[in-house]
Amino acid sequence: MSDSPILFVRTVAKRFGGTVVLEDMNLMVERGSIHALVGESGAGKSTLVKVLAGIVRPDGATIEFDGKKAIIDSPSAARKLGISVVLQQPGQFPERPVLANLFVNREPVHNGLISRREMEARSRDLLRQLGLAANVHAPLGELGPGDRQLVAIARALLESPRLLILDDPNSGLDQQQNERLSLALRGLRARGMSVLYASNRLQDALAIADQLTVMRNGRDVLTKARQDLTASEEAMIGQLRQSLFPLPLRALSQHAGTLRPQITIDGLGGGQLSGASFIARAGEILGIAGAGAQDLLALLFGLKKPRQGKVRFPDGDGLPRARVEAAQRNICMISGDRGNGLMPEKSIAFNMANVVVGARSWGPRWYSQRSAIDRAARQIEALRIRSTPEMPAGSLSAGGQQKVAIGKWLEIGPQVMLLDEPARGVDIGSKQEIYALIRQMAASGCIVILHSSELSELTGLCDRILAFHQGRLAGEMAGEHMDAGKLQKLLAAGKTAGDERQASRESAA
Amino acid sequence: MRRDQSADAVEIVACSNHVAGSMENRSLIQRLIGRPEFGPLVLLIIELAVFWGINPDFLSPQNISNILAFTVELGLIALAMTLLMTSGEFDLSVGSLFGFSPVLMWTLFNAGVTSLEVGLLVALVVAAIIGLVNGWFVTQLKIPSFLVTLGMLLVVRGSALFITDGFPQRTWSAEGSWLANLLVGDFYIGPFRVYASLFWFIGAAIVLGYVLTQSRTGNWIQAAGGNPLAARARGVNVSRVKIGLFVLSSVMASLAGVISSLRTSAANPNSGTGYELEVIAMVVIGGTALTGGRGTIIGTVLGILILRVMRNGIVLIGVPGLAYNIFIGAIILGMMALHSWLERRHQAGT
Repeated sequence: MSDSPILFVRTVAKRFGGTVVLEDMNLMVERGSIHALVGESGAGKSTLVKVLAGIVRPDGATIEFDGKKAIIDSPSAARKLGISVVLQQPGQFPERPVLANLFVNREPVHNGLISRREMEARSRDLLRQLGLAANVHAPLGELGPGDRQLVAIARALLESPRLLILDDPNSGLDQQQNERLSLALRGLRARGMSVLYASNRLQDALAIADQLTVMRNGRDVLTKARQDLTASEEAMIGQLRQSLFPLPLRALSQHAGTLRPQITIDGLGGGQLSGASFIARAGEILGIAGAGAQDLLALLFGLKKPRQGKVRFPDGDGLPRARVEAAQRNICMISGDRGNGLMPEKSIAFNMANVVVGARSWGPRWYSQRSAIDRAARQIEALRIRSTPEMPAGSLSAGGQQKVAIGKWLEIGPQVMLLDEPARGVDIGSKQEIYALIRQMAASGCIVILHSSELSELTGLCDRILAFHQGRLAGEMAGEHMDAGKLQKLLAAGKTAGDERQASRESAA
Repeated sequence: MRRDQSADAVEIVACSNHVAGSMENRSLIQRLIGRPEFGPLVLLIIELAVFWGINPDFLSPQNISNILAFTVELGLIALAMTLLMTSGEFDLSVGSLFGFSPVLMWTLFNAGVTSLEVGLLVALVVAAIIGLVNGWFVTQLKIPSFLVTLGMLLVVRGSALFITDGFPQRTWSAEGSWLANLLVGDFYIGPFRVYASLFWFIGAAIVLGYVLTQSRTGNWIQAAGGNPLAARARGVNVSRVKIGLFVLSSVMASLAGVISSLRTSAANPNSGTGYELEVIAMVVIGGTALTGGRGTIIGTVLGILILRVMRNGIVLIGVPGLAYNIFIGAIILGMMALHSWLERRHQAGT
């Protein structure tokens, strides 16, 4: 029976309250292969992963592991079978050292005491393989998000699992880390480990997978070996991507009136950023990328104090001194750091209401349940959130939560929109809707500044992109000249090789 | 089309790896300053220097012996409380147990029901049961430990008062019994008068210090306090850990009460009132997070000394004893401000 699949899952069903999350889901992971599971979030990937991890109990399922029937009713049952899982939000301990995080409840003990030396010895090679260069005695919280993700993956690998399940493992990783991870996974596959790789990022999944299962609405709709995937099938899966970015409504942005509201930024510095000067106009989506871009948003929203420079907002005032002031001046900030600003156990209506009630100086002073529900219902319809106002925000998928975060700001009719990775970790469908929304906001006369580390997002969505290198404005590209490759070079080196026009613009700035 | 195809593969290489190396090549002094125990240590040294400067008698052998005698008794509770608070819970009922347990022991003894030793055993077992009840309410009924132990505080204190009709118990015949010698037997090391309880305290500090930092149990405690859901997902039995720590804290409080009553030859149902807050203050000043997940025994020992030295020194330099609480409050506020400042500076630096 050595060629039986390592994991064979049939007819998994799970409903939470009235919502069917999984319905007749089937999946077969071959021994020693990397199997990608792709689909929009809300399709049920994460729930399936949690079922296999023993965290969520399915309403019904037949699971065979290694050719034998298996019941996974607890995390430890999964572990005993040899399944290790890295969840989308892996449970970690930011206060504790990296080493302690790697060995939670699996600490090697010598004479009743934990052996730090053995922990180091056992993790050293693995960490090097994953390219994690951090000090293992430093608290985990001091590491960047990418490194933290790698620690979570390393923790799972330390159990030497027979089946490793990764749920959206690369959302926090940069390109280099991503490649290292792929390399490490291939190495482990060669040693007989099987991998189930759930992801929103189709391209990454296609690059690494031997097999592929597409999931939609809690069902598997297509399962194929990677090399058997026909062009048309690939196109069908990829279709979602091509229509990802809405067409810019050029008509409006060509209204080159000088009276359009604008933010004038003159020599602004703070955090990594220094000496940035530019103008952001209403009606356009201005992309920013590189080191210092995030600081720029923080400065504009009053989260950070400026070191130097002047800023003039359309209302004639300078930088907001705090985020409360920013909200009151109709400046909004939407961050892809999910849960940021949302209260997961409160209702969608309550979440939508809390910016409006806090920020406005008009309308009634009191919180009204009825108007909150009306408001939420309006946004739910406009943003196509699949829920009702009374449901807790935490019950939504990642994409749905992000839409609520956007919706609550839309209610104050923002004049300036600061977006920080607004679509990170969100499924393709919601991404598309969020992009359309951003475009629509710009068209309606909003000043939109978008930061993203996904360059294709910038080139696809923006009218103009400013590239920062080491905190300084390194270059600008607009319209037809926007190209992810050139942008990448600009960010990495501070100038584009052989591009005279860019170089001259840089020296002028 | 054009954009998508060419761009998909490209991701940014911006924000990463900037923290990595910086920790390793810090000098010894910087590492020392970075430790959570550094602030309390400095405070204690300043305190000692100030009191000694104003009144040289402060460091006389007699005074040091005095400070240590009572320090130990609150200290035992604080040690257990450190572990409990690291796991994310705390216990307000320790002060009443401190009063209740000796009262129970002496009542049984005076009524001729049991010997003193059995009386002690009974008191400790009752304390353990109280801890178990606390833990059960907190972990199984999911009631915040603040409410559970506040209720228990009243129940226990009420029982002590009821048993005794509010009067102190007679404690005449403890002198010379082996139990009294074992717990509070006193002898001289040079000019210092030392009680046996000091060694119990030192022993407990070392054992619990090791447990917290070097044992698997300690890792469970820190994991349970830091991120209970994640700890459960990794197979840590969070409930059992917490119940165990509630029992530990109750038993230690009970033991401390008995030690105190043997030393002073008094068993007053009202003794220990307000100790719970003083103990929590000691733990927090030492650097243990009130929210759980981070705790230090060394810090707690320093915190114990800071508060006890303050209480003693203030009287010695002529400040009215009733003003003591003003200083304690100021120290707590000051230490918390320092902790939060250090933490913010720390985060800004990375």
